[in-house]
Amino acid sequence: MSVRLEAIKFNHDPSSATSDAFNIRRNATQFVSVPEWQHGVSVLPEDSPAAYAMKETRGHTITIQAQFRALDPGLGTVEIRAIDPTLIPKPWPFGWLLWPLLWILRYLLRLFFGNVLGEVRRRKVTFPPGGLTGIETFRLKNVAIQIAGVGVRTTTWRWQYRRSGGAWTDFETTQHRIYVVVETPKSPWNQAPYNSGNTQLPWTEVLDYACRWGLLARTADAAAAGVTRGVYNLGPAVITYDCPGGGSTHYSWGSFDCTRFLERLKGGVGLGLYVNCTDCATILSTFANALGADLWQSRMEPPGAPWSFGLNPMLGIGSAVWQPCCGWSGFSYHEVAWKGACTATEEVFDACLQVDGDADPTAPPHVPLLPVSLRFGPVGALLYRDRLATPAGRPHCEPNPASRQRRIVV
Amino acid sequence: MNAQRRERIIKRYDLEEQPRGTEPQERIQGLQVDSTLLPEWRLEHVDPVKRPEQPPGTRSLWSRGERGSEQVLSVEIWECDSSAAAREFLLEALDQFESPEVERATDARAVGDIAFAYHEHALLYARANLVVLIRNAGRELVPVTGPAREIDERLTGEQAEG
Repeated sequence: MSVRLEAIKFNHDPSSATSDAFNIRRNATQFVSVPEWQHGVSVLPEDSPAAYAMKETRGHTITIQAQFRALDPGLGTVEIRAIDPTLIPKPWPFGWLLWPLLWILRYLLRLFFGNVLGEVRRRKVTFPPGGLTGIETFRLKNVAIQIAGVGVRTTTWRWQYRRSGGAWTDFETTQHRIYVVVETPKSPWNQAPYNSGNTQLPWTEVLDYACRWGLLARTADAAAAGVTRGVYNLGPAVITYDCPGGGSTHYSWGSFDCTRFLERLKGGVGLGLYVNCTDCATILSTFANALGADLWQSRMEPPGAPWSFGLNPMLGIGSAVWQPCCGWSGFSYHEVAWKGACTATEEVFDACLQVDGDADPTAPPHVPLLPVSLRFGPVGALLYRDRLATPAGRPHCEPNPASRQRRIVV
Repeated sequence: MNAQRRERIIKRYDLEEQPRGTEPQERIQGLQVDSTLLPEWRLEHVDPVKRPEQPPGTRSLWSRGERGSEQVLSVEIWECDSSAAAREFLLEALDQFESPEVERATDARAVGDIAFAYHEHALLYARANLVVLIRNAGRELVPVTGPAREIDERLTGEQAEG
């Protein structure tokens, strides 16, 4: 073998996300250093993560940067490319009648499992006398980010070189964990400053779950809807509503203890089984905003006496019983993921409970409805407020936009 | 905590403003949360609590019985600058409960200087400058009054030594 791949950079421009990967870290304590792939270091796909945003990359050519070493001193100038070994090779020997089926199969394979980063377009590389090239920029082709939508997938590249007029020769196969989100992550996540001390760079350990919950989404709302369902469906096995504790906050008082929540998702103790609405709102909005949604955590509550609002029958997270939450007379407050100004005209996402989605949410029969992109609404509009609160409680279930926040992640 | 929400909590629980100069002056400092705090329980982990706009504290998780037991307790202890600050922080803690059925504890659950409880399974109280929140965190529920009293005895012991 005459050529060795030394390194690959996916996030080669920390100030931009239009033609390269955006800035990420693994978790609260581990940064993702660039180059993400290094010879002798990166073995598994997860050793080499990179994340791309559909909106920011749309219409742009995506590039990577790579460095090579000549193991043959007389190599000079060669062409280098990387192909997708997961594609079914042409020509297909079973005739043109099966070609449309083959095309559909390849599309589905690429969508769910394949190289969202396509292939590395060939270009000439000249090896200097020492044998080690500089950082060379390569354009990608057949990139499927826009088609594939949100997801976490493995891109596999078979690297090849050829001398002028010669045949292609394999010299390396690399695998990379590629995250696709709708837009660059929103607060509490940020893209600057780009250094290991910034713990609010998007976490790949959060994207591991968010991208699966939001799989195939192409809009922020669709991504948030997927995350809402994903969080709600954690009940009752992983988390459940804190009926025993009076509905108190466990993971998100002040800041969001995402580290302990991830521990819980992976089967550990975390901070325990119980969550309340504040926790669900925080988990939902934080994970959805990692995909590019733009949600807040905000409250609804009585502005004065009485100090609670009555509840319609509902299915609290982890519960299979239709009743006002935990059988209580009401909520003293409720908190959800909310868009924009977090007023009655904006939409909410609620992973803490399902409401009754039929014409009469106060009485059986009950039709489960997970609140996704559901406008809070005025009294009498049969929107979120009316489905959550009893007729007597609705006037006391008022949005409190002054409470809106995005808790920092620890 | 903004003024409107503070006022709601005070009115909701009919808490009188404590006149300045009448609060307890004792201060408990440097409480160590280790396995001796609750000897009948196994300490799973202790995390420092460093949340914005909150006093420093610790959050510990405790289990009992076989490994993987469903009896799990969460204990949070915050160290405020004074007893008055602890009362203020107590209001903020009360604001985290969604249930309107959290009540001021005046019975056997009345631990510390002032306490609030949700049935037998969650207890929030202040002792001098410390605020303690003890709750169930596992599927198999246990009454928390006993562990809360054990912790309070430790606090009053620290208070006496101080």
